[in-house]
Amino acid sequence: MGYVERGSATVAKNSEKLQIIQSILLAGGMVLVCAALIVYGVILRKHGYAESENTSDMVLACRCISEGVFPWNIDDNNRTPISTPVSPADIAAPANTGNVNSGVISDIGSADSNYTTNNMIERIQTTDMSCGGGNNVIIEKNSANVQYAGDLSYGSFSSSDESYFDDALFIGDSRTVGICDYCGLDNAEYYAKEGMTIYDMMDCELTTTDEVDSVLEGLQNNQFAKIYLMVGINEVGTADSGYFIEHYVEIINQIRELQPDAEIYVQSILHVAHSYEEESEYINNDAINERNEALREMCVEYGYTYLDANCLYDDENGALTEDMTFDGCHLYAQHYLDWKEFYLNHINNQ
Amino acid sequence: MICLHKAKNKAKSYNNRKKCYKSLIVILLGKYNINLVMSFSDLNFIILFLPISLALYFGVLKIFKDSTKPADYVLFFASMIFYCIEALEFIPVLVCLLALNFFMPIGIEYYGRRYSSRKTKKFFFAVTIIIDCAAIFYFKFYIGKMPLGLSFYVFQMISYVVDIYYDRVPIEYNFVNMSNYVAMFPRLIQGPLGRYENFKRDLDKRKIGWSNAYKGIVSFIIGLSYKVIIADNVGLLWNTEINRIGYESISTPLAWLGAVAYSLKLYFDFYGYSLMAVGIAGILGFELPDNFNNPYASRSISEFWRRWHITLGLFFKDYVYIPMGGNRKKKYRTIINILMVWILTSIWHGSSLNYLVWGLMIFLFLVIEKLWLYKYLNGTNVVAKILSRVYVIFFIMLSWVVFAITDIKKVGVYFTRLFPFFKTDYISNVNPNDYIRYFGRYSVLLVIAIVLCIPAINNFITGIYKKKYSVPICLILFGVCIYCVGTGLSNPFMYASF
Repeated sequence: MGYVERGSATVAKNSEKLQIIQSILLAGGMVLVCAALIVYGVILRKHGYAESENTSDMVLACRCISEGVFPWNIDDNNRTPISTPVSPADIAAPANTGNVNSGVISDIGSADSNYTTNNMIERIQTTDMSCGGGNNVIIEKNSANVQYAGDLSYGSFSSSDESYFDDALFIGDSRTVGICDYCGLDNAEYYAKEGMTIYDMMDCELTTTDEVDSVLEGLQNNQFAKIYLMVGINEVGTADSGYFIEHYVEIINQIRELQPDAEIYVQSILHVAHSYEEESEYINNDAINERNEALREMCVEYGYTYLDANCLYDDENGALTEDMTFDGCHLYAQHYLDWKEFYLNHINNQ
Repeated sequence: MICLHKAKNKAKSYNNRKKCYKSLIVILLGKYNINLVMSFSDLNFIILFLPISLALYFGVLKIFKDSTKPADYVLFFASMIFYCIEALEFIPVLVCLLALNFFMPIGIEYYGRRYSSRKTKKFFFAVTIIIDCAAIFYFKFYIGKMPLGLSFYVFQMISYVVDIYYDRVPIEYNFVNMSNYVAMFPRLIQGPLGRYENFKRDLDKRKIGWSNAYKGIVSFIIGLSYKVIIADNVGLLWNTEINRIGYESISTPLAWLGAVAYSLKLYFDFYGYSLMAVGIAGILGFELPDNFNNPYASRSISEFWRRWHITLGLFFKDYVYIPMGGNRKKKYRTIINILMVWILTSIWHGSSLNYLVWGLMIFLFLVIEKLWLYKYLNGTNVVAKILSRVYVIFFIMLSWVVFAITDIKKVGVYFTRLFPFFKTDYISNVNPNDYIRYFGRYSVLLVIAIVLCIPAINNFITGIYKKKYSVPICLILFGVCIYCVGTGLSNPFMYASF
């Protein structure tokens, strides 16, 4: 090749030039990538994608890209809201009056909402909690009516065997994935995915089944006699419980349209361990309890069954027992066997 | 109205960035302890700290053309700020140990001239080393929480003091230089351990240049990719999926999958970090040694430990094994020397029992190889070449399982899942098909990671800076890394807790 004939000084000069160009190109390119993400983050913020000041622009941009929000569909109203954590201060003063689907919550705290916190507390105190709510009752097996200590479930229950679940459907988040894998109720159907929220429940991809692409499709093509719902832990940082319950009611109405004969079981949000509460900015058992109370209220009002499995796993402070979990949020597989017993003992008999 | 709106948003993002700078300054003033962990794969580091400190360093170099001393001061302050951001409450520990190891040799030298007594000199050197080791023991066993990077920078200090004692290097009279040797921010937290003589060589004649800078940036990006794209994602299989289920409830295929995943995660995590450290130091003009040399291609466990965390092995060799006699004495003495090194290695990694078991396990293999197996493993026939590698990978994977699980009882449970031949009460509620989902999720990534363990491929990738197409490849990798970090997949380095 030609350069062999040239002196070594020229070769060195050329390769030095090349290095300079390469270095500048690479460093410049890195700066451009970062700048582009920051700019995109700013644009997203202008479109109302995150009310929180704690997320940096770049992180916001990356998160939105991962949820499919690109510059060309940034104003698309059919997407489900991005569940970015919202600080309580921001709820009081929303920046933008856009509709729900662009991730902005505009009607929280309005006077018409039925689920403001004060309302809920009043209503709970008047609710009849005679079903399995006795605080000092020990678990009795082999009796017609099994009681669990500290059980906050609502409904009229008796026991049955596993065949009850032949035509049952479980919909939910990672805890339901655990139930699918480890409860041993293999005759039931499971439409679950890690991270599922009440906002994306109908459309999201599912982990536990390949037969249908989404919950909506599954409900359209199949009929179930019992449907168990369990979501809520992933939404604790988003908006407040009133908004959550409103959406929950909408979803259940949708389900009942598609499955008019199905029995609806709404399940409480499982507590998190105390160590998890300490480390998490938004997720704590007080917030979870607030939502669980709201869910129970909703069931009382609409006549659904409410199951609360927290009595199986709580420690004396009402948090998930530390030994039963690795990450503070998900149970070890061996503990799901108790949950199976719980299901078998909480069959609605009305 | 629109202008106000735009201005408000501009102010918002400007305020965001201003907050970052403000918090940095506030940390300096020590007003309150912000828990801003800033590992190399954090956005704060990549976007803010690194570019700013590099810009300052090179700016100062350009201004003071005849001396690198001002730039050294910049590096010193940048490293201190780095440590403050990472672990503000432990900065006194770092400063005190630096002061001790800096002033002791000077003091000994000064008094040595006046009261020349070799024994006193030896005594005070020993005291320094003992205090250094005591610091490690104190935090590891008594307090339980290790200051970030303590194990690494104390070893750097020990190597400096010992080298001075043996007259291998001259005493450093400039505190900033000594501090940069021990605590320059690329190597401060988990750095490749180096020798003072190499540092001094670079100190006097800084290897600054465009080709070194380019090589450094590429090395940084490759390291970041290994860490963020490979290690963090593969690590999810171990850290979240398997640990969440509980070892008593995983199937045997999943247990093996987990062992593979952990072995790969540990490697790419630490290797990626080392590449990043070498890269940044290279940009600054310092040549740091390599820490890994394709360890999973080794033919014996002895060889594996010459290719894994090389600088730690060299440290123990130079400062423990050889001073104790190495292999120059009788065979039983050699074995005792190896045992000593491995007990210290296991203690260095952690204070719980599983690390000791792990260390002894490796020691046993090393002894078996030294006494008998080594020559068979290195045979020239194809069978030996294949079997030796299978042997290494198999037993090293098992050793990492012991290393990974802190509770020794749980190690036992995990082994009953790996080898389900023994009747045991430990299993509970296993889902026999669990591995199918995880295999589906992680198979592509695992295959890529395994392929990257092949020397030819890894060497090609780490040598990519020589190629002309390295710029677009590195840019794409960088973009993917930022995406992974931004969506929250990155977690602090595993070795940082040692």
